Amino acid sequence: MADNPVFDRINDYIKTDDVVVFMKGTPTFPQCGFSAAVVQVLEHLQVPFKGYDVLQDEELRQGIKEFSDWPTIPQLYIKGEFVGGCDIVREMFSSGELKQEFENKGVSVSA
Amino acid sequence: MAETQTPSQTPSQSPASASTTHTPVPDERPVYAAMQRKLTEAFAPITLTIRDESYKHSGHMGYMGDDAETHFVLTIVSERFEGMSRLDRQRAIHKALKDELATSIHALAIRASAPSDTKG
Repeated sequence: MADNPVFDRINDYIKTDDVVVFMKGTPTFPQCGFSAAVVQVLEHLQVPFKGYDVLQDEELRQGIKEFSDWPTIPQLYIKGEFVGGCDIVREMFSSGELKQEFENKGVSVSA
Repeated sequence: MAETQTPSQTPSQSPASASTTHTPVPDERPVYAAMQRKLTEAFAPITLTIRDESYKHSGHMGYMGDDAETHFVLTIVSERFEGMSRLDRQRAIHKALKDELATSIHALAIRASAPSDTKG
């Protein structure tokens, strides 16, 4: 596990920003409906986040799947912790749990 | 299922003209069939709905031709999910469909719940 060099990079990413999305495309131009949905939820909650485009980075694209033990993109991290992909983010948003999660972890939510 | 048939007629002996009305059956949808079988074995689901939405993604990235089975929406209710977190439920499904996810499936939306989820 730890000998994959991309893991160090991922660890840096998820420590540097409170909210990180590994996605296809950028927050401004998502290249996939599932990534777009996660961006939409975060924008609705007005949570600042950092997006990493896996389409521009094959090593990251494969690495993040292994790192999270999760086969699909997008992936949301809050304070270094993996929350889930699009389905989980959407479900947690609808139930109000996502907002709660941000608040519990000390990330300010405006909506 | 089909129109009224005389008892002596075997349904499998359909005339050649029948091929003009193309209805997908599990035999022609190997991915769908495999998903259904594997999920049933792994979770003994109370509800299992697999919707093939591949046709909606014609020409889109990950689309692999008119008959390709690439985009699915899965709704599953199982007692096995009781007490499991969302992450664990999805991980269990990913594991059951490991081969399909590695080869044919491009997108899989999952809604996994336990019977008690809906209560309260």
